[in-house]
Amino acid sequence: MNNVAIKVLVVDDELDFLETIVKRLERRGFLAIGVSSGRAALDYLESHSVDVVILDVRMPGIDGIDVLKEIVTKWPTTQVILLTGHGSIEAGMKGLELGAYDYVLKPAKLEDIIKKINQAYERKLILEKE
Amino acid sequence: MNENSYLKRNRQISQKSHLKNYRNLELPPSFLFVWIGVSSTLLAILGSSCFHSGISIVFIFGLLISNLLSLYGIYSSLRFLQEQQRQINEHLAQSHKLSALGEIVTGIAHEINNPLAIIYQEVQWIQHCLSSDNPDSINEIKDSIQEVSRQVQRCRDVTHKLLEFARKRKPVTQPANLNEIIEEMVKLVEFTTVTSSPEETIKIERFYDENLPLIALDVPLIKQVILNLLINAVQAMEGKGGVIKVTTRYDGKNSVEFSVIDTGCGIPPENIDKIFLPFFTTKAPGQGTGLGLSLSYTIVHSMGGTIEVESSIGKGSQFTVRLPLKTKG
Repeated sequence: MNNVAIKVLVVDDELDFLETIVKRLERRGFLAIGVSSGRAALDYLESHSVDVVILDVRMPGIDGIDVLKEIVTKWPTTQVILLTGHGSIEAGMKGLELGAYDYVLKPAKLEDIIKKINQAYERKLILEKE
Repeated sequence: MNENSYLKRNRQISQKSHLKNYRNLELPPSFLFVWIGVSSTLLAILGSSCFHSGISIVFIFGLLISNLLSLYGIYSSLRFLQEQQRQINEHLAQSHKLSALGEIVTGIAHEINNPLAIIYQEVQWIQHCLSSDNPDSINEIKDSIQEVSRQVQRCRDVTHKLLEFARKRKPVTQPANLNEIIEEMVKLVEFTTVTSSPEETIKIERFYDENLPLIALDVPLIKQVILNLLINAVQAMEGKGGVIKVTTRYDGKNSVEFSVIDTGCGIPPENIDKIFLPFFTTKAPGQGTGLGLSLSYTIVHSMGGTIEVESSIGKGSQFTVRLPLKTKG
């Protein structure tokens, strides 16, 4: 799959992690954008089209679950992969029930994240065709 | 009385007294034809043995007519009995539906009433604090408001799940590796089942079929099912530990299946038929809404699959999900 076209928005309040993952995804051919809060993510989505959102669950202000709810309602074809540093079945279950594509525990291998981004993008294309 | 009005009357009787009256059903009017047919045949046989061949042609003709009448009578009676059977099945289905609806309503009332009761008590406590001169009242009020907020969230979760259940999302399928998906969910559950007490340890054993082909799945939906089954297995063994076996299998033809087998408390036989009903739960209040298995059931069926359970009290339960290679929808 050609990664160039896939636009990925990474949302995490841990700036070191954010910068690193954005840089790595860019190197792998994705169009990656990083924002550090839920509010900033929603503002960005209002004016830009995004294929996949990598979303940290626990953030100050609007948390990942609330951002997910808004994305699912306003941009139903945009796929969300939740990312969390704490393993919580409840958060994972809730995320999936609310419409997240997947749930990943930190630290996750870059290869695993890329694989999930590609699968999520594939799902977005299927949804757009319907 | 013609057969339609006869059936109508029987339907009215059965509606009034439900299923018990089916034992006392009257015979249909078409049995009269059978009776006439059989009697005429006997008369014809008797007649033909009494008279000689010149006259017996009349009796043979009578025999033919009487047999036709008998056949018509038997045919009508069978149709009548089939209609009765259909009505009984309809009533049984209706009875099951009403029973299931009762369980659902009870479940919803239970899930909403508990937080409502807490909210009511907290509001009363806030009113009490507001009318007292105690300087600590403000902290008490803050605590109460936090509790009210938590309970409101609990109610929101219930209504959200209810809506999710009613929404019946159409699956969006893509080729996926079921072994990989299950392994991801197993790791997530393993991450949270680590305990310092050896007797409470829950071990997860994998038996994956390496020849499992790629299968068209809605990945987020099937993950919900797997996670639900694993969470239930863990909860069935909470406090006593045990083993969860996760297996996958390809039948070599057109379906794959996966099972989650636990060594937990098991499901009582009287609950087996209810476990896939929405809001049916045996968990303590606040521990679960009872929607997990019903959602799983809906998801699996939406993908053209089946979900089955076998259980033995004190020994454990086995949930098996069977999915077609080519998913419907």
